[in-house]
Amino acid sequence: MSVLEIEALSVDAVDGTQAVPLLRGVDLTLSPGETLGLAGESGSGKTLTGLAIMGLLPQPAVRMTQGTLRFQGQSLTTLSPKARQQLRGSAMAMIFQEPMTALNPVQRVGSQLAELYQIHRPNLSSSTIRQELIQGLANVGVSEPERRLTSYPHELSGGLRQRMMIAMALALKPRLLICDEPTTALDVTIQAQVLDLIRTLSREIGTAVLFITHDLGVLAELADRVAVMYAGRIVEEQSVWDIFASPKHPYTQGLLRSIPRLDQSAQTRLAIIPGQVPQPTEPLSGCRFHPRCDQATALCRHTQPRMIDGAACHLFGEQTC
Amino acid sequence: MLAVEDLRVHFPIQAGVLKRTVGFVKAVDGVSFQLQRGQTLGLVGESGCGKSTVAKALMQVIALTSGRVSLDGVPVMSGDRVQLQAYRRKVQLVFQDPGESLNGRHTLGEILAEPMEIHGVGEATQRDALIQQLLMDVGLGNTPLTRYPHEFSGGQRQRIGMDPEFLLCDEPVSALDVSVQAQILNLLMDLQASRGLGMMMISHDLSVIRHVSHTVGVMYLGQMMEYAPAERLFSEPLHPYTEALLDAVPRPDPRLRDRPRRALVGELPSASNPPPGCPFQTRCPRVMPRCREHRPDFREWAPAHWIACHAVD
Repeated sequence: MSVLEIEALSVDAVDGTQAVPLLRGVDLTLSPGETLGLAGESGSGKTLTGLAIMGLLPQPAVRMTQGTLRFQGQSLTTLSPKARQQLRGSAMAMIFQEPMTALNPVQRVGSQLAELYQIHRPNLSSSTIRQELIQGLANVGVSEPERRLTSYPHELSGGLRQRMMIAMALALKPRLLICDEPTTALDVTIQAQVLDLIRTLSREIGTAVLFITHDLGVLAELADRVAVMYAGRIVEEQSVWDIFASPKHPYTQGLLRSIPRLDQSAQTRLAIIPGQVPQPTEPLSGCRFHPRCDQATALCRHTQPRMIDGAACHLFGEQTC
Repeated sequence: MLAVEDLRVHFPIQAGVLKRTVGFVKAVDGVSFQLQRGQTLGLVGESGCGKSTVAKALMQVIALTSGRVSLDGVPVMSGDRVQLQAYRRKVQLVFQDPGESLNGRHTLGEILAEPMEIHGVGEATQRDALIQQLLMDVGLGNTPLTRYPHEFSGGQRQRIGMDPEFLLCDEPVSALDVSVQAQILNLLMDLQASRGLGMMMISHDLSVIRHVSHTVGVMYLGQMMEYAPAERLFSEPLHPYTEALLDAVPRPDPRLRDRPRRALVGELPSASNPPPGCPFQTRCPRVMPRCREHRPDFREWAPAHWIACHAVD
């Protein structure tokens, strides 16, 4: 059974009487132990997708208007807010780019971590919780875990704070872990350690991972499948092998061509995608990428392409409308 | 040519009510390099290695503890205001977040005219034409000068700068999306080709450094660990730290995901309390007893290839 099934998810920002579409028709599924990469540029809707799954959309300004979310076969949209809160932290967890904003600066790290157990495992004694915490920190490679429990967040380096967040997210062995750019603020050496950690834990515990990033290199290292978002829609989804070897959507192709590479000769011009990502308020018919696509046809300007064989593009598959 | 010799920037650590100096953070501790016109020097290293401090010291916005900066053989004196102003017209800094360095209450025209007024570039009547030419060069031609910074995207804001001979870029693309990053990197390379700009590129992204640099310096805890022509540094890195950095870079090719990697354990030590001997000894996979006692000399191991490491012989 899938851990997560998202069908036709749409999210709008509501401003007075006006509704601005932020996400449209997002479909995703995730199996146990699988890592799905969600790639795209800022404003494409990656983070919103994660927040919608967690039930953390900043309502009522931003709300889900359509679609179904199923977690381990159970519909999330019909659950009470209280029941969803029970899931968060225990069965599903999310880690963010900047751990400093997610940790309480005036509380010791240990008591913040312990709170999670007190809420979700009220029957455990405090000495058992302490043992679990020490084990949890050791699992994510924190040296001297006992001493770290008494630290305040500002006393920890960025890498250590992110490890704390991961330890917290994984404490109750969630079935689903959503990572939103967890390594973007870290140095490459620390990033490599954190990626290793997520990879190992997903393999060992069988946690399904939704990994949100703009860094395609990170997904090549980590993901089993990759979905690419553009302007609120998924435009391509393939196995990590296929998407890097033969990207179908012109946007994916453009993204892959525009990144500088270690193994590429230097001082050459990088390929660019002309123009800019459209604002969500911009009325745009057909494929939302068509103004920037050098292969766009009249069909692309008028008709929204459907996802067929891993790409939502009129240039691929049998598109009939 | 912009030359830097034995640059040191030490910040005092003060404690107690009397603010007595109890130690120093050696942010930059004996760094030398040269920046040629038409060439790019890449500076890499983890956060806290001192690369941004080098740029600030070069702009003379923070005081040097010791060392010399000279432009075309003329030493730059921080006390000489007239000389410093002329220097700052030739050497300029591009920051990571363009939104913060552009005054949100001034229009594009005002922002671009101000440095021209300060430096006395052109008559007031000619400035509009100069500004239009500048904007054309950076791919913002036909932009109304009455617009405000918030009306521009991040990539557009990053292009609103001035007209220097040397450009010090401190993480200019790290806050940008990849498609915009490519536009800015292309622009910098074009400006370099058309105007013979000398550039220093500071980035934590080694792929970006690889792409734009002719020479690369690798810094660690305020010291230069390795310094070599880019081609050589990336194909034959010598220093164990450079090797580990290169291995840690995520490669956009899943076929490489199981490549052998020399992973670093632990984290960067504090610059206020660096380890004795070689600064890298606490994380080095090739550490030897000598490394714990003596700081290795920075020596020219092969022509133009400099390194500070006991393990390389």
